[in-house]
Amino acid sequence: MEHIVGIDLGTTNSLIARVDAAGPRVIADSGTGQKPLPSIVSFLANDRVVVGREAGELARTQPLSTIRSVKRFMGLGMEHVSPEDRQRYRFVDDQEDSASLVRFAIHDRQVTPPEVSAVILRALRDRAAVALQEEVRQVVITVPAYFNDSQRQATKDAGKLAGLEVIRLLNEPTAASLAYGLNTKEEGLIAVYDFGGGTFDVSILRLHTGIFEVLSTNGNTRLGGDDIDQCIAERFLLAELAEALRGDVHVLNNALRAAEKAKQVLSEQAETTLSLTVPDRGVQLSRRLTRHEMEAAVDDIVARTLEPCRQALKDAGLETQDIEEVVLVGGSTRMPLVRQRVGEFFGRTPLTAIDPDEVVALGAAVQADTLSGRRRDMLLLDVVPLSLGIETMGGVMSHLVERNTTIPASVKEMFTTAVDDQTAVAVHVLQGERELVQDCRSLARFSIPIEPKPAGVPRVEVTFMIDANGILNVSATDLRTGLERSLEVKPSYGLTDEEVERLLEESIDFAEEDIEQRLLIEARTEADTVLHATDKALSQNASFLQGGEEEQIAQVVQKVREACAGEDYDLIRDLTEELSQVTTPFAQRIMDSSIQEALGEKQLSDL
Amino acid sequence: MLDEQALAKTYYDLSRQLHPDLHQTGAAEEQEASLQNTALLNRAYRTLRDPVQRGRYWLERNGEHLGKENNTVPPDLALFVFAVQEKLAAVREAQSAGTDAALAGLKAEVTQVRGDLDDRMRGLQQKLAANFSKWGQTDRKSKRALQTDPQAGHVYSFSAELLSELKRVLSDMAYLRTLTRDVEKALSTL
Repeated sequence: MEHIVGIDLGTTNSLIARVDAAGPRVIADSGTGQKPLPSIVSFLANDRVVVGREAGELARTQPLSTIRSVKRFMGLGMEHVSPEDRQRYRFVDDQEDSASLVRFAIHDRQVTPPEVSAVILRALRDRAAVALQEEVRQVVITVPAYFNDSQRQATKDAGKLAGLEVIRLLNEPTAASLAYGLNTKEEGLIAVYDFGGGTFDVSILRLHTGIFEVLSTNGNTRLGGDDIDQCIAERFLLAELAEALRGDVHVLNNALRAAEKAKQVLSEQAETTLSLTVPDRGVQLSRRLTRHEMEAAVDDIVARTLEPCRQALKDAGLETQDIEEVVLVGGSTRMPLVRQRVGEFFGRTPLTAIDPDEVVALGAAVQADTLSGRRRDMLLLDVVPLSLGIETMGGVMSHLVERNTTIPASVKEMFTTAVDDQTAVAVHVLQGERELVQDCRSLARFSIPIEPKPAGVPRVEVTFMIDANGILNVSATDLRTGLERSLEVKPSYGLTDEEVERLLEESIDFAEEDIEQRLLIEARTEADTVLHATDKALSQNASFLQGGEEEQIAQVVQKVREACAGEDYDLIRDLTEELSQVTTPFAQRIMDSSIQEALGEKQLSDL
Repeated sequence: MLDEQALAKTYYDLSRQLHPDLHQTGAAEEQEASLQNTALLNRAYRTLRDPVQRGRYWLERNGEHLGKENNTVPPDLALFVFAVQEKLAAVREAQSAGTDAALAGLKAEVTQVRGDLDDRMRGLQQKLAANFSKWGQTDRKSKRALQTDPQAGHVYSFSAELLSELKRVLSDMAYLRTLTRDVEKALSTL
């Protein structure tokens, strides 16, 4: 059976995990051993793309073509872009349509957030393919519980663009509760507090013999560790600089990195040095920063996470004392201040047993296991985070599905015509809690085709179905003829199906070349390691060689070197394995003598 | 009287059979059926676990409608509602005038109103439960009457008095719910 893997597509870092015989585990990069892949993508001028740590390095020299925290832009329109965002990146401003999807202007190209995320997803897929020695096609991707329909759709599009089949979008706090294996509890009420790099979520769940029923969820998809970094940078570094320097993208980026680092250090220590050096701008700052000073500065941001907690409890009809367990998720919950505030709010010490950076990916792997039909003892009953409705007369939003309704959820609504021979009815779909259309988020528009008839005679029933991914699907039936009518849904802030197809065609060649390239690089790296170790042993421990061994080893070394010059990674891998085998007895003898020596006087670590 | 625990258990049991997560590897038709059935199940559970929605659904099943007269004040609540509206108006006035001293006093009063609303809601819920159990008995009697005399179809629908009482309680509850929302909104600004 094909494996479905779980992916945590995070604001700061992304991870990929799967369940094997020993349980869920995060897959590390086989070259570097790193588990988190920094969610940073750098577009080079020659159409090449770099992702992860290397992209982070490139951010220093190419800040405008290196995208960090792309998750914050998923499914948004240009009017949601902040002045701070505009300081850091260049965007394509479409004069004709101000309410258009965010597009980064990079070199001479336009790049949408799903395309940037797709680069990260491809890198993770390749990492898993190399580690598991099998193709990875089907995935579960986690999203913030408070993501709206457009943000979910954008994530699904990113998966498609990466050549992946997204089996399920899973809410991050729910994923975390799965990873904690809290299903061993017979019965209980838990809160998951998920404060990540760019988003905040809180979910209240009822556990009941393997069923994880989400009672309510709330959050803020634009509130995270990034805001804390921004606050530290502004307060303690940028405030010291002249106006002109504050807006400089190099200065800003360096200040943000320095702030991030100081924040991390201050989670462990009481004080640190906060320094900012940008030689070509003549900037050189250095100061002491105590944990206390930092906490006083960012306390407002942390306090902003508590209002959603209150609302979620209220929606679930519960009080803080009803909650029996609080689970902390996300890198920002490493901050002692966050732990303290959450502890005070819920009146109990939160659970932190699982690494808050890995817990979501692990939970995604567990859910992938259920979806692949391997286990049936857990079941998630999740909810839609925001109310869904349509625009009615006078710019008022009429709710069809209330927030915190368990998904899948469907509602049928009847439409008819207002004037004779009307040939279409326009429908505007919205998401949000406010009464006026202008205060809600526009999701999509579609038009129902109608046969010309006197006003009020046509009767078309539209079904709004929110699927298990929290994504809206609409279908229409003409009740007079019983025929299904096809609808063309135009997303307000998303890629159309045609755009996804086109981008997919453009990226396919690149993607395939990429995995081949990746496998080749891995094989060569491994061969290099073995060759280097062999050379070293031969030059330092030649006395341990036995008759004919040197010639035999030299022969295989030669073969490996020749293979490495070519591109057949299977051959390189096989020959590397052969080299390891022929050198094993030789290595064994060196080892034995070292141990004897060590027992005499030296420590093994000295060797 | 509805056994809420039995309702939840039935919902969980059916979810374990129907949910799309457990039919992901099935054929397209199976997946579609799972999606549609689970959506229906979720709607049923949402309707049945809420007293007002449950009552409304039950009325509809019996060919009756509560109508959308939520906007007119139920006569038996009129005095209480006017008192609450006056308090809310006072809050708005004090807020636009910026008289902080008055606001502090109003906060205590509105909190008191909030408590009164909760008490009334609980009272109505008990009344509703009592009426439904009365109906249950009436219904059994009607059914027996129907079996012995097929012409007695009119007896099957319970007394008009009980019906109007049920409708009144349900629309009172719906009205108080909206009022509670307004009071909470005002409280959150105080």
